[in-house]
Amino acid sequence: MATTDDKLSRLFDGELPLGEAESLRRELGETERAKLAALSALSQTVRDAVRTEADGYDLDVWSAIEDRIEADVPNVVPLRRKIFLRTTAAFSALALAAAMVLVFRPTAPRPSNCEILELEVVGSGATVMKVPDEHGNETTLIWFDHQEDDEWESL
Amino acid sequence: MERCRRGDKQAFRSFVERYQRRVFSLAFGLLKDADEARDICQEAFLKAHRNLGTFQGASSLYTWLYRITVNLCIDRKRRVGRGSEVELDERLPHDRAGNPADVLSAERPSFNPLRVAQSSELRGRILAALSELSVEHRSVLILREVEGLSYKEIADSMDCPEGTVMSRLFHARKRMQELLADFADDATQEGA
Repeated sequence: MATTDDKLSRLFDGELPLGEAESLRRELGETERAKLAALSALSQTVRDAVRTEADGYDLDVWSAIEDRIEADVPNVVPLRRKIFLRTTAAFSALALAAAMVLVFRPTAPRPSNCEILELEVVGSGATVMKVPDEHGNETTLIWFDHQEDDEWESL
Repeated sequence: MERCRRGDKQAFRSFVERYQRRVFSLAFGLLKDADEARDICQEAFLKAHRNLGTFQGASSLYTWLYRITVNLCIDRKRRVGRGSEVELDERLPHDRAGNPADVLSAERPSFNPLRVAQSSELRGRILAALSELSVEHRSVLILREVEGLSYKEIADSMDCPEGTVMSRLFHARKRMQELLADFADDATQEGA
């Protein structure tokens, strides 16, 4: 069975799983071996040409970029801009704090029940009681005692 | 790397000195011009320095650096728009681009690597053949043949799927074999 060039390329590039590569190598015919040899020659030719040619040039990248790197430090903010940013940040923080005070200002707690300030009873007697319930709340009771007119008169 | 991120100048200098030759070779292979390759090399390291904070570490450092370099080269080539580039159809799946059984040549070039290393004229002709490829195909070929990157690393460097890498590599090799077939004949005659 002919091996596709796709597989041959992956075999040549070492991209086939080890077992599959070994199995494929055993099955290679003369044409496939010649193609592999041609790939190898091309690879070496390109590599040698580019490397040899590139290696012929002097290279000192650091000297060329050192000054630019110092002038180009990332995230460095000019002083004037830094002062502006800090002032803006301080004012923003103050404004935020003021807004928070307005929204969440503390207020006096509202009474949970009414206070009896005054109780006028005409013709009756009244008793005010506070009765706690099982939940810890208090219920205010006003107990009226009706009296006859003559009893008031006797008092 | 961590020292570089913290702004350690000496650490970054070591990083530059370690990778400068490889970055230059890549840029030189793509642009075929030493001065342009130097410019790209410098730009690549400056860009890397500026963006050290964004390097996630998911890819390897050199893959990240190659990615910057390849992008700079592609941008420059597109901006200049020079050269006779052969655009190959990348939309075709790799295994459907022609008859897969016989598209690659079995003909081995008749020149030997030693002659390539010794003869600047031969090297010039090989580089000229490379410049016939589109910059994308050339990038894949150089990342594979010169830098020895895996398909996955090339895909990371070029921000494309591995299938595209395989397809580009396949077409680039096939085209180089065609271009160097004449060259092999010439070399044979020279040797005779």
